[in-house]
Amino acid sequence: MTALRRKDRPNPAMLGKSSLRSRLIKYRWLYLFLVPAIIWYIIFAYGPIYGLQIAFKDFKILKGIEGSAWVGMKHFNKMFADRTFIRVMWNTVYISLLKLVFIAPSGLVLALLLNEVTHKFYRGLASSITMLPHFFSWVVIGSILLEILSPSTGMVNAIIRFFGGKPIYFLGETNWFIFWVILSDMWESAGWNSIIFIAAIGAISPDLYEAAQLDGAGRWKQLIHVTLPCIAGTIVVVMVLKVGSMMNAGFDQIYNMYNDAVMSDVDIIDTYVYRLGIQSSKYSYSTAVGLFKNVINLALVLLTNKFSKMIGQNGLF
Amino acid sequence: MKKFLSLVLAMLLVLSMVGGALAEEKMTIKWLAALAPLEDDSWGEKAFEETFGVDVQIKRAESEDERAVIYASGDIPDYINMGNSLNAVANLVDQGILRPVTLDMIKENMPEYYAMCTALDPDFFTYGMVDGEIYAVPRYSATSAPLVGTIRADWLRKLNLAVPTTVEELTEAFTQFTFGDPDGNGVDDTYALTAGGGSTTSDWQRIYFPSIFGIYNVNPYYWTENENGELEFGFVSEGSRKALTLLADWYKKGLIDPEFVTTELRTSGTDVASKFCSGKVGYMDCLGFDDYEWDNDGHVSAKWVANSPEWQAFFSSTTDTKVLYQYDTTSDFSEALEAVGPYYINMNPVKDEEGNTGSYPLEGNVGAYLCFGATADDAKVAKIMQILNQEATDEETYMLHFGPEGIQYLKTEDGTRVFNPEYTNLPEYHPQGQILGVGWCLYPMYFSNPDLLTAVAGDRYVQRYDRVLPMFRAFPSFDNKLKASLPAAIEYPEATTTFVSNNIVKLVRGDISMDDWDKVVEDWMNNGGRELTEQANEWYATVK
Repeated sequence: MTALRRKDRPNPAMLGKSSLRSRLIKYRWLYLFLVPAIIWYIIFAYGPIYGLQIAFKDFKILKGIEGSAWVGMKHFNKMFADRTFIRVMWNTVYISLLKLVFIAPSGLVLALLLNEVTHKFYRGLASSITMLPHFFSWVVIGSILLEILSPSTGMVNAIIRFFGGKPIYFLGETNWFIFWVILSDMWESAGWNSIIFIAAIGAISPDLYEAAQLDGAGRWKQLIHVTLPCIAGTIVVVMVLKVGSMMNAGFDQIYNMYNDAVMSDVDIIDTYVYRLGIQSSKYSYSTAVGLFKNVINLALVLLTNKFSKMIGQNGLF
Repeated sequence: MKKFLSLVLAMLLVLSMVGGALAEEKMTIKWLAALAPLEDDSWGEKAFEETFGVDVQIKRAESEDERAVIYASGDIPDYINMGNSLNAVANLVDQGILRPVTLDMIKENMPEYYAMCTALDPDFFTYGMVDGEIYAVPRYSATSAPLVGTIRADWLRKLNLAVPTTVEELTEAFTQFTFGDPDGNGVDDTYALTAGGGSTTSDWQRIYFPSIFGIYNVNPYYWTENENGELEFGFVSEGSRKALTLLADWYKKGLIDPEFVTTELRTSGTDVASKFCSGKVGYMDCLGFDDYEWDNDGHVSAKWVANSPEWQAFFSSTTDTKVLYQYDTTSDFSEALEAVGPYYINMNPVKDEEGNTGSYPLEGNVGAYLCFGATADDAKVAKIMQILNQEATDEETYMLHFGPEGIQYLKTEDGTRVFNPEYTNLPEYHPQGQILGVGWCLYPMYFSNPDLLTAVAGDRYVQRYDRVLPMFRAFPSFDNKLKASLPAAIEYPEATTTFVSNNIVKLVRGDISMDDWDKVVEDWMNNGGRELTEQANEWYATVK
């Protein structure tokens, strides 16, 4: 029975041998599903790579990409002499690391918690509610935070005052500001991040849990010895991807929350590039910064991928 | 058959030639304004095409990002309204998007406008220059006025204080405003002043305490002349050091609302004017003259009335505009206003510690830079200039800004135009006229001609332009001495903007001590300030 089933399934080893054409015909409907994604990548990910050359040119809109003069590494040299850039780079790394430590696991923790909820309707409701904030725009969340965190009229400080505390100007102090950046990002993204883990947990064979129960394992032991090891591969993939976006600390969020009091400490590469690129039309320079950022991101992905293989996991590729 | 075919071909040829001639007759102008009509073929667009005999193709962009997309597409508009930032003009010049014009072109195509502006300010047409060439026709702002310090008269009365005339008296009044319970509710819930740090605006000079810097005759974002006759950037001048020392001291004493960093400049329900009018603070200084007049419509006035039952009773007591718009703004205690209800005083600048008179920052006389796309030829530029000239100086054309008679304005029996009080209830109503396609959409020369400010008259506009505006303009004031765009300002865009605002906040809050002032100045010098100062003085030497 098992042997028969295996025969039906496309054997990965066999795929390489059958011709591409016969495979395309055989799985045409599956490949059709892939088409929109491929088109998206061509238009939005591979197409723009052509434009990256303006990082090495003095780009003028009217002259176009082709007509603008080559200037070599000029913009990169300027970047490393630009003290603001050095500062925003460290800000980015700092905020990203905090997010990596606190936010990346939040999706996993939420998925594990939801997994323990036995009531089906309640579990669905809880995961829907936690996922909802993902669809809110940061422009909206930003102004809500400004209102509820205000020391004079905000809800949070009203509670603090009620218990006899002194109001805190959350958005005016760097550490509090970063605290709320992390907390609001967690609130916004934990539900969404949990989806992939919920799916991975759902794929674990119930046989394993049964066997563990027979051996006398409680829920905690089942979590440690069944659930976590079974989704370890997923966890690693998610971590590799998160590390790979290390240089993105969340443009929308910071841009909609920061102010003059904390700006020098929370200004990140993306907000700086936005101000220069869009607001001051320095296209070449901001492209150079963006390119630099992506090179670092790629290097980090390769490194963590290698690392995950070293510790015996599959990694991304 | 052959004959027939050749006949058809000949006819086609003739037709196409006629068609070509017809198409040539009407020039198409691609128009990128501050605002765009919501839909094509609006009343304003048709009136524009009819009046000037051109085809206008409206470009739409609601933000700088969307404008950048239009430029990047290569389809460059012929007319581009660049708002009031000359650095933004210089950016586009650097990108090759704008074309220069000559003074002769302006003189030839805008004779009336040229005569009018140069009579008011002989150097006016040099203000749109970048790298020694004219890239913009500046729109004269006939309503430019200083940003004036405004104080709650009812609080002064309650605390038995005179209108402050010196910085010591001001400090005393501010201390009382904060700790003397000026609103009489028995709770320590008031501050003396706040600022609109939570806003993103291109009007940087308005954001942080302009009237307090004004005590020392500087604005941190304006260039000023120092005692050596050299240009100096306001933020690093001695005046700013004194103003910041004073502000840091006030902040330490708790006189300044700590939320001045995140308070909005105008829009929200907790913006500066809202805090002032609802009695959270007793002093404000970040808005223009037309926000203050007693008409229940100016930005401050409307909020003030909303917070005052007495003024609400007054404004609902009659529809007689002679009565409604009778009150002037005041720079001292006023019995007339006191008889109605609580009021505010637009005060004279106070004297500094050494007895020198202060002044207020004037928002310069360039309302906007009107520019021309690089792909527009001379004929097209000439036509656009003629259009702008006619809009600015011909009363009938000027009136197109308001749309057709009977909607936004009416004509009274004696022929004066008055605003239609029912306008806001009409389906054509839009605060910026974007439904009719009028207003700033196609008629940018509004407010440019001092003689036409009361083209739509009526008591309310006589109050605003004939009484309040002159009073504000009479306050001692100073302007930005730099009237050119510096190449270094393009290279270091943050040095004259974000760097300044970040550091003002830190110095006022004490995050950076005033003892480290020299370090802040040095930091500014190293981040582009040295180049900026050098270039500013090079330019200054050419005009002095």
